[in-house]
Amino acid sequence: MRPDAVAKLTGEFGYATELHAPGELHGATVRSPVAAADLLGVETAEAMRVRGAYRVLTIADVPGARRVGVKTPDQPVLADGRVRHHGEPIAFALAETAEAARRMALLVRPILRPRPALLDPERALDADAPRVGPDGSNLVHRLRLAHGTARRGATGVRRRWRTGRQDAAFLAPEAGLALPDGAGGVVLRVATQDLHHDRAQIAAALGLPEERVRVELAGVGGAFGGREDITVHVHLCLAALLSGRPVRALYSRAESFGAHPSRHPAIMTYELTADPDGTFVSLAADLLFDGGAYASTSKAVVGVAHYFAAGPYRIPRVEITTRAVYTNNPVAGALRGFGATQVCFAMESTVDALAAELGLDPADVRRRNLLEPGEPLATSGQALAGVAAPASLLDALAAVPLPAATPAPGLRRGVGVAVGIKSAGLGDGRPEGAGIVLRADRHGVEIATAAPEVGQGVRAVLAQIVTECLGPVPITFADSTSALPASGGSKASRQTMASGGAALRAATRLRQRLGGATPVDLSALGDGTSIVVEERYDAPPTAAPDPRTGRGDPHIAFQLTAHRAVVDVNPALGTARVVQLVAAQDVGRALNPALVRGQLAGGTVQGAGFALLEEIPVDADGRGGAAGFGTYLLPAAVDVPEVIPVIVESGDPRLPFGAKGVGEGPLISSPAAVAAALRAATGRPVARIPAHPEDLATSHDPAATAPAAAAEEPAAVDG
Amino acid sequence: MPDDLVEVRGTLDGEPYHAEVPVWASLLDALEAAGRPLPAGCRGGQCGSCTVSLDGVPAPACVVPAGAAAGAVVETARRAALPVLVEEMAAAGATQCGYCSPGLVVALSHLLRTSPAPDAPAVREALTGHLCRCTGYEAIVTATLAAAARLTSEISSI
Ligand code: FES
Ligand code: FES
Repeated sequence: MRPDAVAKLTGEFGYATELHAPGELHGATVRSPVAAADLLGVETAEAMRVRGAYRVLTIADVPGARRVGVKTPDQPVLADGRVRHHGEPIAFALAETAEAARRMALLVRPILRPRPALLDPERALDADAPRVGPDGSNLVHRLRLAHGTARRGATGVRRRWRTGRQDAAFLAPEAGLALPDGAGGVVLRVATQDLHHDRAQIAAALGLPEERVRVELAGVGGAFGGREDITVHVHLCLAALLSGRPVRALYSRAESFGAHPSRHPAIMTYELTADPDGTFVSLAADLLFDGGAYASTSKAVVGVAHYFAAGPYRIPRVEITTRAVYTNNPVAGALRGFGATQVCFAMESTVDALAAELGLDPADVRRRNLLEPGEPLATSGQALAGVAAPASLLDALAAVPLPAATPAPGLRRGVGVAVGIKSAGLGDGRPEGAGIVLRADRHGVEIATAAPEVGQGVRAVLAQIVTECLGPVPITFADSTSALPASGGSKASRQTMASGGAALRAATRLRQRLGGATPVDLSALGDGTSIVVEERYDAPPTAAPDPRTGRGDPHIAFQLTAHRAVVDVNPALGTARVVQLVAAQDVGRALNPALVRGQLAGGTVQGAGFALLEEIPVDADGRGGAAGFGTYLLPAAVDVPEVIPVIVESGDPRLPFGAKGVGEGPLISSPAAVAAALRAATGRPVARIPAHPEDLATSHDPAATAPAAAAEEPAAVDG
Repeated sequence: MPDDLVEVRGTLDGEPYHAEVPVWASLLDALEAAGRPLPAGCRGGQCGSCTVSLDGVPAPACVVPAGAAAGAVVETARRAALPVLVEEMAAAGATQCGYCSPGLVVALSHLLRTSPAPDAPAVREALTGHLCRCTGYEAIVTATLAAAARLTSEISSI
């Protein structure tokens, strides 16, 4: 059981949204009302007349680096002469009460001179497009690979797919509390995915050495990638240093939707050809990811998209071009699935279209082309090692009975299947490790880790690893802070491997120091005596692929996943209801089956939400956002009546315990499976997700019931 | 007391509480002012995370006017939670980040007190107005049914 479960269920667990300190000030963010403008000044006089007003911070108050960023430092701490997206922070208003700060934020007047906004990512690289990127270019990153013979199959399909702007929509809005440490430094309590990355950005902006900034993990109400980038962090620390007082901030729900990066909207053209028996011959894909106004994690996201664009299939000829571009749209970045979700939708949808064109069963086409373990990926050429046979996931899905009840009269039922793949861990030549400290005394063992518990259960996994090694000793956790050895972030499905590996080493060493036997005898330790062990784990090194050929071994391990979705569609209204979702995933080894099932079910439902409901709308002027959960719809319990996780265990011998990260897998193939089910139910092409009712309605549009006629692109290309 | 504040008194988890809050404040604001913050995912009645038992009935505290709750008996999950439900939810992995959990526990404890043998659709129906972003609901439903089964067998074995 997770160590925090009872406290969370009974309301004893504290969250960042609830932090206060005596003498605190409250901060509220002034945000850009437009997508693109020059910022000529910030008028604060009226705001300062609010009762309780304290001060308004602007970029002029930032003593250190004016630009920060989780990967690329291109994002101004507060707008610096220009705004590049709607909702961009311009100023930070401080007041004695939260209400006064909010009023001030409404009264601060940015003086803006509109500029033409670049909103269409397909225009971003045109010579006459407005320039958004920091050095005059709108290209964030471009990748290209092409290999294999130039042969094409006799039958082919070419399709254009689009995915929308999904939000992490974690339930706890951004919040934090910064406190001056009394010695010129600052302490920030915040909900985050990476204490050390946050600290580096805060210290840079404040112009302080990193030791003067301490980031402490406050209770995290969900993350999913949406807490990789900083939000309140520098604003609060700056305010605390300048005022000498504790400063807190709490975003509203509407503000939260625009304050962290969303999933990248993508436009993906896929052309897949095959021989008449369904054997794939060639894939040509062009991927365009809209990164919005700042780089965030775009470069890494399109790296994942690029190298998993061909799915777990054997394809002799592949040619893939991938670009991330700057636009004046809201910033896109990390979100569970991290680029693999978009390309899975495109690839799996194309496979289904090709099977239809060939007149073959899509399941047979998949089985014919799925890689066997050990075979090279079609893109990088890296061997698909340490995984179950991808086809075995299809078997696992097929073993689960379809829902017994038939659809209500007037509804059409569709069943869809999709297979997905992504790396686990950072890979790409980036260092991948984590440190941990264990302290044993006669009362038990304390685990000190900087790995953020964001809800995924990393603390339960670490406690389990330590007790598996030492026997049933009482386990406690030290607060997670940036003063501990770095663990890297809770992202990329990596902590079970990285911090789990470190915990195994540390516990093993601790056991040696305690005599070597399991269970250890802690009572042998004298009163006041403790043993401290610090260890780290470093994953086997990887290397970035050769930039010219795209070939190499960039991945540490693989997450392999498959979904089957059953949906009922009302053809008159174009409304869809999920009937059943089955998620099968190779997790290596399920260290904690309840946690793994929870990850599978939760991610699968987020994927169903992406396919059917979840989208941050952006209007014709680039204004994006959602007022709340009334407009940004999350799946409710009645919307997903049956979710069945199926754990497939094929231990990866290169990883501690053989356990792979599992967090992202369930959100890779579930949107694609739901889209396939929608197509099966309606015969419509469903060329975008989320699917809108007009994409699904059929009965009023006789032409639309013939799938080929409704396709956006010609169904066949010449071989 | 400045004239734009109201004083709210009532019972919170069995103890008297009081708070002075602006006239427009919600019960959630009043509980925060009394030093008892709740998870609050939306402050607009759309997520259910701030759900408390108000005179025995679950309600999102963020949309209950503080003045209207004056004199009421308010119970958070600390007091309203059925222990068997908490045990089953903890064992099933029905909480991840936990931000939705106290509100869900209030609502589901009420369900089990008022309708002892719900089926899965009834449990899902009772979750109307509650969002959970992490779990996909499956473990929550399983745990609630398991708790219901234990409650029923306890009753029938008397
Ligand atoms: S915070 Fe009250 S319902 Fe969401
Ligand atoms: S456990 Fe995170 S929202 Fe429900």
